[in-house]
Amino acid sequence: MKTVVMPKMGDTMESGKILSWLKAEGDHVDKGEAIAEIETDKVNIEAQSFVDGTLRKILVPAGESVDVGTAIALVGAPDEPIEAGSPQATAPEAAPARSVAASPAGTNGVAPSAAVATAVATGNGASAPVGTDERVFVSPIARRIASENGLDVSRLTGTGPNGRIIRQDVEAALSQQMVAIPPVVSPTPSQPAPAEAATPTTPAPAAAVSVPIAEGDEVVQLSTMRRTIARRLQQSMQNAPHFYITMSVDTTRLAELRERINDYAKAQPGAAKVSYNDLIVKACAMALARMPQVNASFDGDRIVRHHHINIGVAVALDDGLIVPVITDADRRGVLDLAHESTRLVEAARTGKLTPADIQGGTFTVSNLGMFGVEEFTAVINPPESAILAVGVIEPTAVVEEGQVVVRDRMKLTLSVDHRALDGATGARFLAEVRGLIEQPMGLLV
Amino acid sequence: MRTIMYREALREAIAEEMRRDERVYILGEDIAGYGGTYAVTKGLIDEFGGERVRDTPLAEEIIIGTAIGSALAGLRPIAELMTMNFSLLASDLIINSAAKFHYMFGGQTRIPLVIRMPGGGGAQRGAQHSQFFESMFAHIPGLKVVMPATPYDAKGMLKSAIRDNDPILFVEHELLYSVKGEVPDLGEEYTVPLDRGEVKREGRDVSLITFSRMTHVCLQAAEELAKDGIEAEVVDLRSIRPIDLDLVLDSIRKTNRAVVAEEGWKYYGTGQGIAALVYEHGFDWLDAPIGHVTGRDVPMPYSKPLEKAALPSRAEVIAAVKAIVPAKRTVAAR
Repeated sequence: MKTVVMPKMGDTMESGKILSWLKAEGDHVDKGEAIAEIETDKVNIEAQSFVDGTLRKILVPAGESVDVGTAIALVGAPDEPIEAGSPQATAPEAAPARSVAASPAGTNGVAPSAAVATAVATGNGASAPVGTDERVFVSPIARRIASENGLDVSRLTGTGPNGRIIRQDVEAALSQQMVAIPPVVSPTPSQPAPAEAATPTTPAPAAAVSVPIAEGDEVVQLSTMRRTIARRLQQSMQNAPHFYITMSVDTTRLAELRERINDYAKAQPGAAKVSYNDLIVKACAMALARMPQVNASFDGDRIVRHHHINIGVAVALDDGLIVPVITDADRRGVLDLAHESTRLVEAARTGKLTPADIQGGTFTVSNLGMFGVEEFTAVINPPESAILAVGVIEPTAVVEEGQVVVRDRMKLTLSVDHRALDGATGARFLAEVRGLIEQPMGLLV
Repeated sequence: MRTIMYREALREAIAEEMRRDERVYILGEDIAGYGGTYAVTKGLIDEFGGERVRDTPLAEEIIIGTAIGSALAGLRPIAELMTMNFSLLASDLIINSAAKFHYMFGGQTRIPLVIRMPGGGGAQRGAQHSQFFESMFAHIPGLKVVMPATPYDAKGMLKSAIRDNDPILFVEHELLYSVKGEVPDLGEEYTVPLDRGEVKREGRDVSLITFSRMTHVCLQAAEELAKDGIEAEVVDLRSIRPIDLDLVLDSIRKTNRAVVAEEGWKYYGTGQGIAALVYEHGFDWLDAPIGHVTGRDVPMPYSKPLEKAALPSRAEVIAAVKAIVPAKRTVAAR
């Protein structure tokens, strides 16, 4: 009997939800054939059987989420017996609280003790992370403190021997949290808690508080995407001290250039129309190439400067947000870049993104100009170090050579992780972007 | 308070208890006219006479056998063995008689016996005369084993031991006899309990769990570590059995790290027993594996430099601490 497990698609995938079973128990499956549709953090994928055989048992029903690596089905010969010990999707064992009282007898090995009590309940947080390839070494006290504070230790960098996560690592992470996390309050029986909150398959946002539910209120279960957004952006705001820099940029020449490019593109079969956002992405990519210190990730006790410049473009969806990534944006010509962004946005809106489409971002551009937003601040998409928030292009009165004139301008706001970069660096980077937009010929040559 | 030597503190305890209770007497090799191999009992014969300060033949079985018999008959003997190494000759009597009678005879008998003896190395006594066997005796239910490190504890614990109704191994150290320390003035009565350790130095970064002579080595190591910003807490167990596990765990709950330091051998000894208890009862408070500093796993060499190399040093304690206290923490502590 062979086991089909929840596949791991991409570095950030920790769990997946079975959207539907494409095969029923008793159906024949071929090697490589899709047997279930799975929703990950960001994309929908298909789980395949790696052997020929009969789908004997479905271990995880549709609608349920399990950790990566968890058995979801058994495939075998039609008459092969299913053993009682077959893999099951099991909940972590809860160790009972324990209390040790020493004997009061004088000549016993242990001195009379009022209470040598170690009443330590080890719950979900205390068990090793399931489904990751590498075991995370955590000292007992570090694990205990993390568990008590709802901190996911798998995201920390250990400074102890063998990379062990020790107490100071957990305390450093906790001290970086800008908000005190209240302990999870058990809801009263009359207020049914969301089922998933009781047994989260991925770590729930730590700041879960019990919200009183009044009559008529609607309780919406978190989608995997919503859960991911909540977790990652909370992590970003808690761990990365943000600062913000805003500049106003003249877009007159950018508009002229865009018009000329699109006039040219019309005559090219298959060429995509170039948007303002494409040109801003290109400007950011070129600025990152000139300032590699911005194309970096803060990583505990070091900073990783990324070789590739991969720019994420935030795409709003009906039920959330996704950030597909334009790889090597600095090396792409403007038309190529526009073609790729068009494909990604289309794939995002139709749920066709592949894991490769959403991985490896080193910088993000978020544009709310189409909603008439003048300016806004964006939350950094970890582990990136900065994100650019783009406002609307508007005719603006400006003073040039003593005269008030009207120019098209937009406001760009850069959010920066102060752990990795300082204000002057952020300002120089934003000035690079502005220079490339105001003198846009640099985007082409 | 006065400052006196460890051997003087012991002598005072014996004399005070002999004055207090006429059932108390002492016996051993050369303890009367000669005053004891380490001069602990010097002068006692002058005050208490030959009936209560008795020399014995060079026969440890006879010393302990006599002591047990007299204890059964209602006396409160203090037997001195010249060294702990010779306790092996009397070990059957200690383990199979002294430790057992109270249990085997349905509680009808008590054995109020104190066996004083020095153990340990460092004085070039050779392989046969430099050993600590505290873990062997501490293994035995029915025995108590105490190992005070300071004159204050030596006097207070010996007085408690003499008043206690169970057989007690009171383990001294040749290199401790001349150690000086503060002790209350004569006439100022005090005792130290037999089942409580003591924090000899407070610290927040690591707990040094130790006893006997190594307590002083650990205190010196802690002073040096402090220069590097590491604050070590020195927990002197004082008693090996019963062990004050509460004190050990309280300290580790504070520091989250421990090094057990002892003069004896590594395998199956006192330190491993302590570490096992900490893992069993204090696992969730540990931030690092427990360090263990011991004597070398060899019979003690006679050669002076080799003997020095075989004994655990201050430098080894410091190295064991630095192996488990993170460097970042030392920087932050400055």
